[in-house]
Amino acid sequence: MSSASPVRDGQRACIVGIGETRYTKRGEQAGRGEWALACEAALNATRDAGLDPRHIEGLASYSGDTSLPWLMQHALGIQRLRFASMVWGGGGSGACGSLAHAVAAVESGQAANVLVFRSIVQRPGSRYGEAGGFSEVPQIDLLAPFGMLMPASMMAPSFIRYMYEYGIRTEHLAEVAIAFRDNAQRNPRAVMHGLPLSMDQYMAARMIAEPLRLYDCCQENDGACALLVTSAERARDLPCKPVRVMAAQQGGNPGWGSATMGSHTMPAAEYGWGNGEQLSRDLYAGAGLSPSEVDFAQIYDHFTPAVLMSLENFGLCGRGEGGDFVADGKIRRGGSMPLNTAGGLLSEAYIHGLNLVAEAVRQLRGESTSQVPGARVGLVTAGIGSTPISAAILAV
Amino acid sequence: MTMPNYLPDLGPITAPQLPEHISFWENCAKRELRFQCCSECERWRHPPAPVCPHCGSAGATWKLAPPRAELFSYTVVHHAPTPALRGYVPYNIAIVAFTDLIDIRIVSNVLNILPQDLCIGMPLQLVWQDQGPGRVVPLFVREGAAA
Ligand SMILES: [Zn+2]
Repeated sequence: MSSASPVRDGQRACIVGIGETRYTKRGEQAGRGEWALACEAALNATRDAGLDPRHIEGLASYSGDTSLPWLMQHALGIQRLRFASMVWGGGGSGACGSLAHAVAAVESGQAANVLVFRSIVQRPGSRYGEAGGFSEVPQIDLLAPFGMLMPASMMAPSFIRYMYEYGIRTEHLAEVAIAFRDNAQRNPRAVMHGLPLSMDQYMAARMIAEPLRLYDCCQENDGACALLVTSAERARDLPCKPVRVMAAQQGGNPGWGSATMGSHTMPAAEYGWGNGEQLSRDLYAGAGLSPSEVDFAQIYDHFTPAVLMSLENFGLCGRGEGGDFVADGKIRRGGSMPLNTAGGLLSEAYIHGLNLVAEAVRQLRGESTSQVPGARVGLVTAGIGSTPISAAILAV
Repeated sequence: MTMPNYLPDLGPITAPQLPEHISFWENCAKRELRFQCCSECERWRHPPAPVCPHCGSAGATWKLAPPRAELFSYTVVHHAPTPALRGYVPYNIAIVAFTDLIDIRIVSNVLNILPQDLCIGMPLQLVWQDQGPGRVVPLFVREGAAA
């Protein structure tokens, strides 16, 4: 543990509860709406923690969550609201950022029990493959006239460059998609449970934006996920097994302020690699741990090449080695670095990445459907390629 | 124009929202590709920004892009992101770098090329296309190829 921190041991933040709704294909829970899903996930998290929901003191979400703090205070009967935070970061890049805010609130004493949540019901007209969702991106005028109007095409040129510079092959991308889909077969909560993916199916799928085929792109889902963060000393009074947040942070390398949603002017040497190196350094230093101590990782998998880049950015393999790293089964169950053990965003559900944190908690409690034996330290990442991204290291 | 447009005018989504972008598009309407150059430290920046990221100065002039350009990266889009683009897939999106500038790039398209012929590093030449009312877009062709 980092000795530089002024935080008392008893004040250190832990995740003591996780809660989820059913995860479904997009639109299937539209009749209930995001508020109802957020409340269901919140109540599941407080039940999991053994805590009265009225004792939640803080709320943290990201990415324009519509379940506003006053709605949550009203529905959950919160008696002493002391902290409410919405973190920047499009898509899921704020997932660990909102956790970081919750940790800061708990460790600074601003709030005792903080709920981190994300609720999504995919609305018509804002599908990820459609232009409508981007009308409010301030630099969209530099992209739209050239047909760059969906996340896949915004990210794809950095993936092409990555594959070009490091000799990454389609088979490497396929391994990520197939490995995560395999994990989903053991996870009944996964939307892709019961739908295994073969190499033939992967290769035969339609191209979205080169190099991304259909199964390289994450799903669109409805659902909500929540975490309950409190201090170590309060956790001792709760029935659950606390999971320590060793570090949680936002970040992003310099020069990425005009990256995939701007004019792609990030530094040339990192264009085809990613913006996580600085964050990674800060994260491991904050946790007092090194990448070699990580037992498993839940890597933000909006697109398969992003997983390979993230492995490299977060030090789990060397630069340019992501393709070789995944080629021989290392990321599968039983491998040396199991990834996205619930199926990830590709095959469990795309709850903007918060479900990756929930799965890391399950791993550390020994409750995953693809359990890593003896797992003690887990890395979770959130986003790569835009600013800010975020990440966390959890441990027991 | 003798040539059909590479992509159609997509309407309001292509209009600049930031005041800093208006001059960029006004220059394009005059078929001039210009980037901001800091009045103090003389470094170039793009996309347009109200102050210089290197020195903080607000002063800037709009300088003509140097002619040497190359394909820095690209994608080929097969899934139309909006119904208006359905008749246009597959189309390429090019990330174009300017050989004599550091990390100044624009998103564009390369005309008259098959997807399999796109290759990182290929020299490109600027051409202009009228995409719609009041909208002229900077596009590229292979160096030496006629638009
Ligand atoms: Zn300057």
